[in-house]
Amino acid sequence: MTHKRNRFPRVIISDAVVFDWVLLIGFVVLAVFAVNYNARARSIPMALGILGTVMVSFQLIVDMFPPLRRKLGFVVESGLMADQKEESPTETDNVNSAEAGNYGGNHGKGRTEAIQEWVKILRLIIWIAAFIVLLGVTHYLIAVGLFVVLVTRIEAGESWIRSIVLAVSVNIGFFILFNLILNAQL
Amino acid sequence: MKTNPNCRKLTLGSKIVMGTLTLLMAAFFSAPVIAADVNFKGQTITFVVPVTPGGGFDTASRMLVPYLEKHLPGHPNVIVKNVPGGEWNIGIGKMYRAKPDGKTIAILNMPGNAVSQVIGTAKFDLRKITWLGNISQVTYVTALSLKSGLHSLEDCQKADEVVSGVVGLASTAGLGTIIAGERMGIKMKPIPHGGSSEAILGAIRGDIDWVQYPFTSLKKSIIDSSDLMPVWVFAKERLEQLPNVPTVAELGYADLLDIVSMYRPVGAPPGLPDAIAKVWYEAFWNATNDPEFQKKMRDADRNVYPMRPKETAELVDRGIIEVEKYKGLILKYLK
Amino acid sequence: MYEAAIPALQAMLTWPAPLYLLLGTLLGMLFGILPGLGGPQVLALLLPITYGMPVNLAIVLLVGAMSSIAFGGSIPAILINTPGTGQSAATCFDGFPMAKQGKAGVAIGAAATSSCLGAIFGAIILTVLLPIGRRIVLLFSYPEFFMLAVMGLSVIAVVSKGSLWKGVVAACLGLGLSTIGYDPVTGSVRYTFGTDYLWDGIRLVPAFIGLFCISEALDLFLRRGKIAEKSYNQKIGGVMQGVKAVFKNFGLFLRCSVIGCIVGIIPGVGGAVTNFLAYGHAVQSSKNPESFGTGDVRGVIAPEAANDSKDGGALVPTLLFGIPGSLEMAVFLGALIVMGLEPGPRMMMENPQIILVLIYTLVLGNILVAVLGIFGARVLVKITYVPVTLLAPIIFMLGLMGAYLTNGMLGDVVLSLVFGVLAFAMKRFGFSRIAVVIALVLGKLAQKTFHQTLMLWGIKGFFIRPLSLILFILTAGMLLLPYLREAWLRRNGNTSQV
Repeated sequence: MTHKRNRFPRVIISDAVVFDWVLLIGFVVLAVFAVNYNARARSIPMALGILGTVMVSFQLIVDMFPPLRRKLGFVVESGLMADQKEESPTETDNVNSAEAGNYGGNHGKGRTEAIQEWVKILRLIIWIAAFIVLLGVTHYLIAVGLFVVLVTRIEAGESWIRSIVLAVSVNIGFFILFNLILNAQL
Repeated sequence: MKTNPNCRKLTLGSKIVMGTLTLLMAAFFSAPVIAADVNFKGQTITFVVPVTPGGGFDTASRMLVPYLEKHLPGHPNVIVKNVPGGEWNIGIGKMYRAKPDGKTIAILNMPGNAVSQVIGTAKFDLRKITWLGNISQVTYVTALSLKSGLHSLEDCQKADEVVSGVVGLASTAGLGTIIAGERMGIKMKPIPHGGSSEAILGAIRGDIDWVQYPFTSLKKSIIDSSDLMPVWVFAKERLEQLPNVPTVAELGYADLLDIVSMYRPVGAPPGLPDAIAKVWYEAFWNATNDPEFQKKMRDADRNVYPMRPKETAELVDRGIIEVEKYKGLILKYLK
Repeated sequence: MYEAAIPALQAMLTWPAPLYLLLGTLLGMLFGILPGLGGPQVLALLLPITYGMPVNLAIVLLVGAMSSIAFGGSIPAILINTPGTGQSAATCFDGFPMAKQGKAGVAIGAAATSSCLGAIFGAIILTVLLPIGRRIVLLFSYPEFFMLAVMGLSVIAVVSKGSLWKGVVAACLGLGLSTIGYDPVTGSVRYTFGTDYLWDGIRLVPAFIGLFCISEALDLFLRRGKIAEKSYNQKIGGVMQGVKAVFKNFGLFLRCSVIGCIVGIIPGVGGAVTNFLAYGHAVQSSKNPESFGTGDVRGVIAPEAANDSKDGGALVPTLLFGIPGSLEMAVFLGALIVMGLEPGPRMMMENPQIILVLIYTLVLGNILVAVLGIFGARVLVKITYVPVTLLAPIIFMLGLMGAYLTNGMLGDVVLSLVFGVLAFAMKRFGFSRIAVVIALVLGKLAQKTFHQTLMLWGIKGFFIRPLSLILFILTAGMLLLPYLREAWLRRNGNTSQV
């Protein structure tokens, strides 16, 4: 991402920007729907919605047009606990840079890598959604067993044997735990 | 059963087998209809309690459980399942939609649930529920804070404003306070709370003037200690624990008894077959009349008020009609 | 009441009481460890078993279970960043980073010791305060509750790393989410979009599972490797280091125990706030606040001490007024009633022995579970060395099943997933998850007490009562202190911190 001194500020559309838009929509919904409720009930949600909308808008501007960061410095200013010295090496890269107030979530990573990671997350979300559906229609042990086997094999890349052994152990463990000891009504 | 396409007719043997299988299947599927043998041996009955554990409804249900087990044929295992949420909707819904096989029942709240039905937030129809009976009747007491400067009905009526601590409106306590206030000509300022304990504590502190709650909730503050002053009870006769406290009837407001009174009826899903229902009616009546159960409840200062299924259904019907009278008032407060 | 002390002790030591204590403690620990299950569930499970049992034994069993939950909840908080119960949320903040550094044993040792001593401290305070507990409980009214909630919320500003702007946005998000559902104070149902499920708002237990457990599992899955990125000290010495750390920071421990106990006394507020307040205090009172969140053992000692001492405090209104200080206490109260006891002023006079048995069980149960934790730590710590590819699916299952088991609702599992993804995204983009957690937990309380105060006394209600003013000043001080300190340091020409 180069910073050319153009007349038109370069627009960055990163995953951070997408998230900002999600937040913005959420706050707008909060404020807009508040009008449906009685006076006392709408006061706080509306105030929160408006405040949130305004603040996220600034964040959005700063994330989309990086050169404006300097002008809108208050948006990226660090909190009370920000490091006065060098960041400790134990924090993960992402969290470090993101929480130190830098824009975007892909600092130090390429765009394709970011997309790959989100795809992985999406796949996990789908697996979990499938688990929830199974949980609703069949016995929980079937859902658990299938999830463990398939996710361990397909997403984590372990061998079939390991995946199946893991699934069976988890099932046995859960059975003992939930059915026998806890006598949960499942 | 695969039949050999080359075989032109069924052998006698296979005919017998098929016939027997058909008979067995018919017997199996029609078993529940056979009246004589409703027996819950080895089964589990789920007693749904649509509130979080620890409160009056939960306690009453739990105390009844051993006696249900004792009086139901087959002595099944009865377990309490707390299904709180949605202002009773989720729990009652769970029972309402369960299979009508006698294995799911629930405790309900009258007239609290009637309020939900009248204002349209209920996801059930109380009149369709198969009523089994009633566990207890809860007597309400109005108590005033010692720091309020109010000591009697006249004081309250003369005051510029009486601050009351209420919980929700779709509850007997909340509704009862508002209605009593209107009826008695008191300028009520209700302050909502998250629960009755919170409101009672507020009255003990003196921030709240008036609380109106079940006797069991207030007992600690009006008998065990004198933190609050009871001014009247919503009952036909004076309570033996409060001999000096008048009833609303004595004060001229006997009509309030129809609405400021709570019952803990128990029901089963709509459409419960007669055979199963009859068994339940008897078992429930025996359980609530069991002398040991009654003694335990009395020792815990709880009331037992068994009612026949028909009476219970009538009570529910009456409750809905009463609440409907106040629909306008309720909706006004919900605005 | 104190004359019953010896007979009560004898009752505790007579067989089979010790066995029941052990059983109760183990069960409570198990429920504490499993995310989604906690106090109310274990009590509901044990209640039918106590029918017909002699009262003393029943109390030992029930209180034994209750006493081990707090520490039990901190174990998964440290190992897999999932608080086993809501009250252990703050333990994740530094406990999990410690696990990542291979110091899980130290964290568990510190948590065990802090919990145990904190509970003892709370029990001592309980015993001492019971005679005057009444007055303390009655001091707090709606403005004070509100100020406490605000104090808890202001902890957000103190502990959020990174951009303050994003921290406030996160807090607004949390507060906004807390408005969902039926609100008894305003009588309205907000943002449910017609669903039954959202009627009671965002349920905290599944939300926590999503915020902590699921999001962390998602993150682990991407990172691969193991939770513990480097090996530290596999011998039991690691655990003992944690134990010693509590004594090295004894002043902090004491202060947090006091905070926990006093806040625990206040009904309705206690549980939610204490661990955050204690954590915030730890950060505020340290010379190097920036080390918190990266694996500072003090970040484990503080909330754990408060967490356990609050149990002693919560018993004060429960026993004195019969008014439960928390949901757990409400269930416990119900259990007492079913057993034929009636907590309240009468119980203090008629059954002092039972109260003492209760207090002893609280203490002994905590000691027992702490010892179990310390000796079991070596085994537990191994979890952090399991390859993530095998561990993550298990964590997912444990978390999602935990969410399902809380109330038997699939909606809770979906909620966990949603919050899991949300938290994952927030972490990636620098929005403080802590802010959302604290705001979600305290949002309802803050709004309710805000409206209640306004309804009763108007705006001036917040400022005319001395106690609420004091709390307000304390909160303001907490927020301004770092700036003042910085200004003072700069004036004295000293900008670097040691």
